Amino acid sequence: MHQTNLLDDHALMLKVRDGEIEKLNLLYKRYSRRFFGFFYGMTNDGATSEDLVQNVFMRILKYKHTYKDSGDFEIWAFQMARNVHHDHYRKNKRYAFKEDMNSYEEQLSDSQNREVEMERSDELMNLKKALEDLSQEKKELIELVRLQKVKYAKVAEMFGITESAVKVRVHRILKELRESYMRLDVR
Amino acid sequence: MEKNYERAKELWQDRLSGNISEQEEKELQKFLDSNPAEAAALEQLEDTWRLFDEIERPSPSASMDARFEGMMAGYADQKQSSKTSILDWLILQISTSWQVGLASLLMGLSIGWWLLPTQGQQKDIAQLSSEIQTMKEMMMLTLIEQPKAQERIRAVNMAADLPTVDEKVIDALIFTLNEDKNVNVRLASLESLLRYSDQSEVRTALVDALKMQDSPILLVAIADALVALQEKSSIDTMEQLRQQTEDEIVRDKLDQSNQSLQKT
Repeated sequence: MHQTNLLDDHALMLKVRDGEIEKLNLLYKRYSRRFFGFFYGMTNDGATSEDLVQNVFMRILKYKHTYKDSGDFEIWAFQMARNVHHDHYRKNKRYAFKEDMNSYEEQLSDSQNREVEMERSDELMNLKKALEDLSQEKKELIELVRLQKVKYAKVAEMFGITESAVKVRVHRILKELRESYMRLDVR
Repeated sequence: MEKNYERAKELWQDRLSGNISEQEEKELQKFLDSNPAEAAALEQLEDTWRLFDEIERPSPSASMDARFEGMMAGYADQKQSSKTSILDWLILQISTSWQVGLASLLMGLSIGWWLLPTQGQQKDIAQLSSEIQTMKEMMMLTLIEQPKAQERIRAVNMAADLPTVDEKVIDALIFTLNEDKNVNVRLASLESLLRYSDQSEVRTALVDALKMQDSPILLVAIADALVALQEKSSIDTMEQLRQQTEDEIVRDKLDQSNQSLQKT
């Protein structure tokens, strides 16, 4: 028996579009943390990321009438998040790299593998720096695919390229990151 | 060769994201076996891919949620006057059609049941009962959206009687517990959720619900439930809430609950 899923993202967004605005609460619960993570990855700033999450949901309400019957909420909403970030970036141009050392040290446990962990942490720190040096577009792509776990096919639709092209680009970015953090390690 | 390597890179990405078919896996393995240099290069990149798992992101502050709620409230106020009549019409349409639909479905099922031969039809019966389960689930998800509180209570009680539940039903119950405007409906959905308290998602939702409730009855009931479940992760939330709340009964209750959770 075919079961209509009354609570999936698409069904909820259609209801929001048709006037049941309160359904946006559930979508907010499902997506706000992911958007926050995406913006944090792009800006390295918690307060700014919270502002941008708010902007995304304001835009969702403003442009809800443009959501199509055949739409895909994840693609549509992340596309909106990208636009919100582009606008913000245009106004502010550059972000400073900030690493919060306190919370970073708290992540280390007192296990016997501390030395191994330290080495791994260096690598992680270098990876974060390497991510900082990526161009905005590359950072966005790896953030969406790797950290927000958006499927290749959906990212392809967002970027207007083929799925294969997304995979090849992600592969190149990984390579660039690896080379760059290995270099940082030698220094 | 170059073309094969490009293809292998794509398959490698599929494998990293856990999205590769058995046949593609074989194709990739064949390439890796016969091209050790490229295989080594790909393996190094896997380390980089895995390292991302260790990137931790901070959580947003509570004010982010509060601002969203504020935005929603502001939007609702703005739209209310012009929207009411259309909404009423929509609800009427939906409620008429689900009742008609449900009645015919029930009638069909009873006829089907009556026509069933009595012997050796275990399989059909199993199928029928799984269909009834699906139907109950659908009915529950439809009822939970009805404007009348009694109907929403029926829906949450129905959820408690389902032999097995899936994520959708749990989600609907949690949503109702946090968002329904009627206290009785929220209480009923709390009771139904408790049946599934062996699921960690439900317990986490109960702790989160503490922060979202404004009704003292609900706060007391949730605190009782958390004590019964021995949910120690709620201690901090309760303490925070105790400091914020002005209601003396709630404050005492939270204090008692916290103490008994700490004792055990």
